[in-house]
Amino acid sequence: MKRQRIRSSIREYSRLVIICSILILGTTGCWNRRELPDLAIVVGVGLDKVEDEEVTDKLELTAQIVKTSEMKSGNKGGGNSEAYWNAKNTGNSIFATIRGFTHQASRKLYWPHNQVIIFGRDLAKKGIQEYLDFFVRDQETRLGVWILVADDKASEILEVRPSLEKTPAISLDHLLEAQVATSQTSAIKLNEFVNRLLSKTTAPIAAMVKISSQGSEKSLLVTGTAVFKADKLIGELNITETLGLLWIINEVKSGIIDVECPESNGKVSLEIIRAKSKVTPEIIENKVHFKVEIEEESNIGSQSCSDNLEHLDAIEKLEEAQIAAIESEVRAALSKAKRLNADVFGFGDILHQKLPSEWKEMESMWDEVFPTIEVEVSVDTNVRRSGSSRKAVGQKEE
Amino acid sequence: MKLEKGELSSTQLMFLVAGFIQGSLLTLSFSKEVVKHDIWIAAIASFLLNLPLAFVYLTLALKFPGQNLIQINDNIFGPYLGKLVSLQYICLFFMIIAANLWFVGDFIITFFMPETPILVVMIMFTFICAWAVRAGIEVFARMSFLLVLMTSLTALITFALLLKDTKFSYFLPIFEVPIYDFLHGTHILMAIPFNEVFVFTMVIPYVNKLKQVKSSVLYGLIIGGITFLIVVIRNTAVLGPISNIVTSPSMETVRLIDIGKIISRLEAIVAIAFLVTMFLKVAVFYYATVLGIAQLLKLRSYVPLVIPIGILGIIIALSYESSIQFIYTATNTYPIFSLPFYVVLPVLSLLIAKLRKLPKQKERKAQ
Amino acid sequence: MIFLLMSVFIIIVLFEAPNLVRNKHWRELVVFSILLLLAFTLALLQTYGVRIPNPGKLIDFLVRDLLHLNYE
Repeated sequence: MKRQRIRSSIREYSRLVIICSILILGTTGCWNRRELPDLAIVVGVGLDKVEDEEVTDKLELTAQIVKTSEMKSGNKGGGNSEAYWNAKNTGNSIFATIRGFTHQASRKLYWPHNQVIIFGRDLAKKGIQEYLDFFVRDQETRLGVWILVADDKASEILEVRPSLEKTPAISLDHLLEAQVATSQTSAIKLNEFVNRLLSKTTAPIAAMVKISSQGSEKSLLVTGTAVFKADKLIGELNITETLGLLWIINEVKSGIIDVECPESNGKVSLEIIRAKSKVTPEIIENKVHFKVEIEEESNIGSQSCSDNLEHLDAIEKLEEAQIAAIESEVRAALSKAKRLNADVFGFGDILHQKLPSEWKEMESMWDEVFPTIEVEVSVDTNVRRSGSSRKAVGQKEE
Repeated sequence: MKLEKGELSSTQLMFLVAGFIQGSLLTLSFSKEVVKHDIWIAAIASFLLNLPLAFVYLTLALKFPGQNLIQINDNIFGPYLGKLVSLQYICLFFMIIAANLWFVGDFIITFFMPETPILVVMIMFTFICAWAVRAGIEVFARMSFLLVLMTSLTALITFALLLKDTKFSYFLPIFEVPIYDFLHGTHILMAIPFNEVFVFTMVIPYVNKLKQVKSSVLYGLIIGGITFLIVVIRNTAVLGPISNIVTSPSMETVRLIDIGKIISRLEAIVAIAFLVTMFLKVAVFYYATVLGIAQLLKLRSYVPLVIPIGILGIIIALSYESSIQFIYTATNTYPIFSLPFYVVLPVLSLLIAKLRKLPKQKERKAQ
Repeated sequence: MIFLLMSVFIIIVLFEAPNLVRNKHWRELVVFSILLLLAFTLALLQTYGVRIPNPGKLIDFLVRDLLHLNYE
């Protein structure tokens, strides 16, 4: 009896051990292990067009790879080594180029931490659909990366040493997130870009990044918007036009409007707190009308004149000046878009959503219809607060 | 003669049904390509259309208390034809196991472990399922509560975290797809997963309170349907048109969660949550197959059959060559194929049962 | 590869068979052996690279080529 009990308990025990070992070996994913030293973590990628001897249109890919050992904070002045390495490779198709990195890098590229995708201007003019397809289709890349168009070459953008961050790509990421404070560029992520691309009428947009050199120091400047038609770059919007665009597509989160003082010479800076826009389409006599209603709230940020801005009519004058400023920005954006014949505002999609039956006839002819649309802009502004002081700092001028 | 010694309570049944339906959350993308942004309407429509069918299944099951599907078929169609019908059902359930196994393997391999051979993933998954089925249905019915809770919480929390990225204009214009495509999409959603509650006719005899079966299954369907709706609305509102072209909208949606750079990269949690409910689904079908074979051949216990069926399942699952062919079959031909099994035969069975006034001890023709 | 396959199957037999024999469940043993043999042959065929028809193709053939009832 005792022998049987021992035998059965041994059997139980061995069953437990076998099952545990199967589970441990099988469920931990050991087959596909990728240890940290085997990964080349890409934080930013730039794509440019280069010319080669045999083939004219080749792709040059610059991958900004993080050197994990140099990322320790407080190690800046020490050696002259940077925390990143820009690896370049050329090839015919994007996938072949990326695989080709194994010839130079000792590790395979690891994409999930990628923050930005920068397209060089020449490449953007040629068309970027095939590259976007890779970034959407691959399982490691994420849809939340920023898309940028470089003023000239993307590889140069990735070379600029940042002053506050460790790598240019990460500083670009923080830069784009900080753009909401000024609303002077449209910070677009990959998924919004592809959504615009998928729509047959809306023009994709992306932020433009330039290198500004002050003396010998170079720094990156994100300003303006790049406008695409389908996947090819066709034009740019400057700061005023970008502001107008952002007003219409309801993406203004914060910003500054400068208006003239109501009575004397000087400027009042108003800080935008909230902005909302609504676009309604109408079809009147076979012509497409869009009614844009913008509502905005702002605070007084600073004033350079010493007017007493506490009166109601002073506030009203400020509000009117604001309305005029906003309207001019919106008009500038509309005229530029019409000139480029690119529906950056998504008016076609709005027509599609609100009036689908009329949309069916217009969809294929949107290129001809878009320059003829009429847009009616109505702005409503409110100046709410004046900050911590009520009157101006300074004497009233006589 | 009862093959299964365990007993389920009606709450366990409810959560089992809910988890079973939630197991198909990842297969939403089949219908999404067809119906595009009207998929929420298709989800509601398929749920409503399924309710009368579920009613038919439940009435059939409750007419023969204590008898599972195989015995019911024997009763209704007679000994020889009934066995033939039961054999067809067993083959169908087995085929569904293989298909789901392949789907699980493909999902894990695509997103998490591209270099692992799909065989390894399938073996591990089947190992767990086989173990659960050998232990009896009561075991994984008891677990279903936790699993359903996990999946529902995941769906709700990811929806809440993504609220700031939702754009409800992606749902407009409403009902844009042509009727034919809409019916197609609804039919796909009905075939996978709503109609598959038919397999519960194998499970219902072992519930202890038969009076509550109808309400339990109904509540289970409602919980599953609501989770479906939440996930579908979340995916469409956050991604927009991209959700129609990506393989797995749920994964891409959750990848966009990035709150303060700390709460990000949550897709692993989502994958785990939806994978465990897929485990429930495969386990229920597995159990139905094994029990069916045992019942058909009048065996005394189904336990020794579990492992061979598992291995056969893996082998058949390995024979699927590409995901493209799988998606084509699931979208276009499988819904039609499943029609006779889930619609025609059950309704026919119920009619015949009513006409023959079953189950009576003596058969009396209608006077 | 074949060695691995055979060892797996032998382990399964060792796992299940003694129970069945001890309880004299002859019918179950027969069914178990048949199914296991089927699995073994199919696994062997697959290891050798013989393509097994998969249910998807069968369904496609039935619905599309015979009945022309498919959606697309």
